[in-house]
Amino acid sequence: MKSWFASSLLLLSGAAWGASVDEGRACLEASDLPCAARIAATAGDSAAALALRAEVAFASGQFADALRLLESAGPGDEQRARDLALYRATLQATDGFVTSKKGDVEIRYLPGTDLVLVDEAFEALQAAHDRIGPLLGGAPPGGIRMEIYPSAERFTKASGLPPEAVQTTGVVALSKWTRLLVTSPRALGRGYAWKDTIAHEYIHYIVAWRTQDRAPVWLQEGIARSHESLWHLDEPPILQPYQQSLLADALANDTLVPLARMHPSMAFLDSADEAALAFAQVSTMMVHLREVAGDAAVSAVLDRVRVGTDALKATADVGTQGNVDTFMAGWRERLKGMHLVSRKLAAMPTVLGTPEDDFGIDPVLANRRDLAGHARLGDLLREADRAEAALVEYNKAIPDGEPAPPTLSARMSDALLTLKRVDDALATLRASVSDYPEYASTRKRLGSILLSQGKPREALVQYRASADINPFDPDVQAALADLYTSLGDPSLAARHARYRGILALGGATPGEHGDDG
Amino acid sequence: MAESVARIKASLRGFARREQRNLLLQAGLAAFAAWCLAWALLAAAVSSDVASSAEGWIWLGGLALAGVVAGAIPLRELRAARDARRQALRVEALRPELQGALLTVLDRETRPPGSPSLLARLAARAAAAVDSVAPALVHPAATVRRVAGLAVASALLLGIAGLVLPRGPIEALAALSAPDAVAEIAEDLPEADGPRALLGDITLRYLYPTYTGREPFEVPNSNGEVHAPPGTVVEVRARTGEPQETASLVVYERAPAAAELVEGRSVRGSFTVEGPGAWRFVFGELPSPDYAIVPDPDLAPDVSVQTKQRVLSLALDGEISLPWTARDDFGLTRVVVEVDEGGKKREVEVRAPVDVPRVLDGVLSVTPASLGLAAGASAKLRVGAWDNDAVSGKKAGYSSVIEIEVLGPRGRADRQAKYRKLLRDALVLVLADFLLDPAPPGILGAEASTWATAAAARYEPFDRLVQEAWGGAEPDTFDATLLRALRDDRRGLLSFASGLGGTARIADRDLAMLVSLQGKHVETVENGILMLDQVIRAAALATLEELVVQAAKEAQELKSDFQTLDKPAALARLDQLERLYQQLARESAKLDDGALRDFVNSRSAQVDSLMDEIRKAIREGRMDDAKELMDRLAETMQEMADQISDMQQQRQKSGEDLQKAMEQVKTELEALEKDQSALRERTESAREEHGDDMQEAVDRWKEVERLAGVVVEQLGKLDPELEPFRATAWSGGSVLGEVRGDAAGLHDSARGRDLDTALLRADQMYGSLGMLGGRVSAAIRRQKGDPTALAVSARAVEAQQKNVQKIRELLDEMAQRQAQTSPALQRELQQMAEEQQQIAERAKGTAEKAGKVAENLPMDAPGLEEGTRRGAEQAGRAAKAMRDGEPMPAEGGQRAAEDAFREAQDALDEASRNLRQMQQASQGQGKGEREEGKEDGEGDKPGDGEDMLSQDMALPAPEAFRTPEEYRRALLQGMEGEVPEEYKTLNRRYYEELVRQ
Repeated sequence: MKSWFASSLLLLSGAAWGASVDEGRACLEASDLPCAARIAATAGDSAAALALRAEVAFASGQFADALRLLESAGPGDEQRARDLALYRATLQATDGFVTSKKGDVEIRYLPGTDLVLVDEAFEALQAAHDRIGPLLGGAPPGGIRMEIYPSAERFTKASGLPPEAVQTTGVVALSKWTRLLVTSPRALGRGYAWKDTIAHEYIHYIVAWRTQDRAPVWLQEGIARSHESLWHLDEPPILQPYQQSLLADALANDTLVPLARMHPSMAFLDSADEAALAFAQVSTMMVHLREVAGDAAVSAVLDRVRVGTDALKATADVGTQGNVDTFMAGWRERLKGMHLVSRKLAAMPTVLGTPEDDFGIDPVLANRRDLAGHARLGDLLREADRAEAALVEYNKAIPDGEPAPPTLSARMSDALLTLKRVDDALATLRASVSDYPEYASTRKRLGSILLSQGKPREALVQYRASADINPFDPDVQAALADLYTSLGDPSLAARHARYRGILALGGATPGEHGDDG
Repeated sequence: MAESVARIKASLRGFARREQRNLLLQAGLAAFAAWCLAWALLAAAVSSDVASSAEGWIWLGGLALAGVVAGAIPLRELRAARDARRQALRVEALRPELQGALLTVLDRETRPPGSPSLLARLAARAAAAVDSVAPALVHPAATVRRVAGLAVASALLLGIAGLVLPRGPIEALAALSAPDAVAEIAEDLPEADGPRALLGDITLRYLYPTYTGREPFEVPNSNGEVHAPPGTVVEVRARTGEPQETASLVVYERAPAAAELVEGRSVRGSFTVEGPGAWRFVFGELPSPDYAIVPDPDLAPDVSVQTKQRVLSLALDGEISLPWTARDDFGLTRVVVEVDEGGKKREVEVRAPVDVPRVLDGVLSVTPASLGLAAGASAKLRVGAWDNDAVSGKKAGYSSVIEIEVLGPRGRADRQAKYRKLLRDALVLVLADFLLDPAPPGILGAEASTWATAAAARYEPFDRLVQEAWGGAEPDTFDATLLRALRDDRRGLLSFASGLGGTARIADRDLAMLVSLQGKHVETVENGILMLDQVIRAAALATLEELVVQAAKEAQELKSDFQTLDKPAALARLDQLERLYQQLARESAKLDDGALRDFVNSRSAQVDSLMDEIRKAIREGRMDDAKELMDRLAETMQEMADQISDMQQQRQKSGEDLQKAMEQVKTELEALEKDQSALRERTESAREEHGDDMQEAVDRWKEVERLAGVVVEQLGKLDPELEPFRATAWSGGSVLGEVRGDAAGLHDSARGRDLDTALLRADQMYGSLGMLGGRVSAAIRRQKGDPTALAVSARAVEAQQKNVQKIRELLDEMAQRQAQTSPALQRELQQMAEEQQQIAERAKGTAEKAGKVAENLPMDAPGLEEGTRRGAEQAGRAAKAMRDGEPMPAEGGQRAAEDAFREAQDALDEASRNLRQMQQASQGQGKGEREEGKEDGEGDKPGDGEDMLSQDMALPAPEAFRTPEEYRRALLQGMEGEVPEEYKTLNRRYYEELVRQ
């Protein structure tokens, strides 16, 4: 891996010797860790200096040192007490972690099945640096540390966020304290698009550094959401049907989320639906900006925000010569021209930890136990070899005016396959993938049918998408290994065969260890 | 057309000929059979001297008549068989798809046709159908064959009579036609052994032993045979044929005892019945004939228990509830239950009546614990009763044996879990069939009826399981609630569908009802499955969690000890862990939950692989690798345990959240009802204070409400009388249901003081009562069913129609004379309107919450959301009426809102109780389940599956009281309060018994 942070280190020359503790803290707030480290090293032995050194150690991932330093600084104000609690919680949350390092990138994780994430996490970060960094005007100095938390409990502990906020808004990763904190997809019942999320958090890291942390949440999220998939795509993808339906509804009813309400965090919005709408709004605003002002537009906005310009004004300056109304009107027009899907779709729930039952991960059935009952009856009928009757029950589980929920589509396809109605099964799954693309199980089933029909390339697309959401399914890894072998890619075949082996042994790799583990 | 009709007629004539031929054959064969049978009986009568030549011609005439009568029965139909319409009806029955076409063609032939082309098409269709029917199908020879079989059997019997009887059929005929024949045969009889003194006018007087409680009994003109229980003193009086000088009595061939001889011809003596034997008088040397002494044995009491279950499995504290009956000829002194535990028998007293009744019954209510049995024990039970035989000693009679198996808590939970799963799976198959049924299943009555029969058969495996599963135990669990709901719903649907039988097309209204009942039944079955499933899954998860946590703990211990173990010890400990894990895997295989099973299976695969790798590493001496793998194994198992525990916690949390939501809704409903009630009282007070002129309207409304209540009550009583007709082609059931629904609606409107709706409903009701009356009259004319019951129904319907007419008149008067509200009252009402509106708004919010609760409940909660919404609507109606200054509708709306809030609370309470029972069932707390049921005042019920669903009541045993008077008082005292109908029935029975005594 090339040392892509090396170029950033040249930017550190501005830091001055003998600067104050406050300046060191300002460096930290600006995500300039080398700057803060230098200041801390020369700040003396006062309590404030010890606290600064503790913060630097914390941001560097040296949690035990951070705690020791802060404890030695003695009792301080409320903020110090909160920091002490956070350091202790983080130390617990990262207990047993090992580190893998490539160049200036460190990834910490708990040995075990999360090992299957590490290679692709490095690749995603590298690609994000190479492809997204330039669009935002460069990346921060000092390398990057990322922690992969194996469980919701550990992530919540390390994040400092209240558990309710995590559950309500679906926060599974953070860019904070110059580190990326990411939840392993295995901590969610259904997995999630974890590599886009890594890129997303990395973008936050860049934006915080580029603006000296002056960018408001809406701008942060707008840039991150609209750029997060550019590490592997050339253009931002079309909004997901669920987001389209939210936007269409909000436009029709004039219920768009005001930008001011997105402060201080999307995590504090009222519901997952509202948060998703807000993300869709700000993401499309940034896409609109790039369309009207070119690829360099976002970087130009960040430059203006860095010097104190209001974010919306800066956006309008770059996009529509300073006229905010024109910019917003243009954005709305663009939305109207997108022919947004207006049918009702439910949000994918963020279920951290093991769901209560089969339907806990379903966007519809998790909240409609009456419909889940019909789905369960369908399961019982299918297990009793009464597939036709099962389909009757499954159809009862589809909410009025909405497409089939994803967990239901998978079941319906199984029943249809039992009845030898393969085309109907395929159509059901394809519709579900279109409506709910982030549902690994549907894609896996679709891949399996396509494979059985002798369509390996189409099957590969679905298995690949399934693994990108939930890489912990040994069947999917085995299928990918076989498909890559048959399609002539021995390198990837070997990788997925290895993942399959790791998963088979619950993550044990006798003889292999992390860099410091 | 003409050609088709000709074909039809020709075919019908063919059918008629075949029927006539069959009838002639039947007549001949029946006559022959009757003649053989009568002849054989005649021979028997002559042989036993019942028939003699004196009445010879009468007997012979009877013999001839029997044949003629038997032969004449089939011949009565001979003329009718020529009727083409009769043949057509047969064909229609065989080809329901004709839908009356054949009959129509025949009818139209004799009457002016409507549409000739239509008739021609009908005729062609009918002719084709008639052609396709073979005569043998229309008139099968089955009856002829049966009668022929009877004739052969009778002939055989006659032959056997000839061989067996002293006088065969031929001799019997001869004896009856020729008197001398008897004398000739008599000469062949053997002579008596020696001379005997003639005795006549024998009178026996029995003096029974005291314990029998029987009065002395005299038998004049006896044949001398003594029939009495041992210990009976028999006094014999007789007259001799010739005067005698001395007499003695010989009994049981003992030494002669003195006998009293009066005037040489009247002789008297006595003896005590001791056993079988004979008695005779002896006059000097001349004995009288011997007379048999036949002791009537005092048999042991006859005891029976009424249960279909012969093997009961139940918990230590599970109640055995067995109805029993004991009878004895002379009296019962004790009733016990005998417990045979591994050959060791002991008795526990059940009853010790104060008097000595000949019949005693009761319900055995004991628990294994009270019988001294321990968990895991098995024993044989039988109910025994002791008689009062003071002569030969008391004897006991016993019922058949009931085997019981006492389950420990675990065994009981396992058993319940097993049956719940079986029940669920059986119901799933039932559901599958119902889901795929067309709705409606047919448009002809016969199709619906056939479907009902098939649908009933779907339940057979399920019904068998219910019988097996609930042998003598726990009628108050949620299972029983669920089964009762299923049974009632099933009966409703199937009896309605069966009642539609017939070849006619089902009326549209009945079709709609049938479809509605089908849908409702599917919902009930679905609900039942989901309730069972929820309990099964929760219990399975709890078991799995227990095992996984244990396995994880073992793995952690092995991980800690691993460094200190040598190779063989490490491998041995690993084997031990694997065995535990295999047990876990076996348990998980029982899981019926897709995701959970997949999860456990995937982890199982990991664990298997890790164990294999650890063994391999140990064998190859790679102890560091083995240690690392062991660490991973321990972590994998711990993660698995954590995840399953998480799942459990999630479930518990969901349950707690639901419980909290229910409590919240309950609190809000209570507050709504209370506030609404208070506001209604204020509204009433205001009306009373400022609305003097309203009193007339108030009184009218009260009268309307009263009359509507009477109509509801009387129509409710009408139902059982019309019930028998539901099973016939007369579909009065649905009409009655409609009328009752209208009546309830009318009553609601009256309570709600809703003039417009009440008027509308009264009009509808008047019409539907007229329709019901018409149906009953038609049934009377057609003589369908019990004429007395029908006449009572007709009168009741007529009376209610009059009541409804009165209601209409009252409502009309009110509509014409709307009272003016005083300005003061209007002002006051308007001031309270805002408060009323707030109640309506609050109720809307509560209805939303109630809807959410209902959505998340695992079972239906009928009336919860609907009641709350209706309450909100009525509260809103009241608010509007108050704003408009109309006190009567306002009060009515307020009252209706209160009713609705109360109904919603009842529904919530019911759901809450079911939920608690389900939660307890999930935890396998059988004791808790039963006690839970008792909280609601439900008594214990007898034990088999069917009985479990009934509500039998039991009176205390009389001996529990010191005197009969105390017992009577206790009973009467018990009847003073409000008691269920079943107790009233018992009370009636008690008085009936008194009258009989």
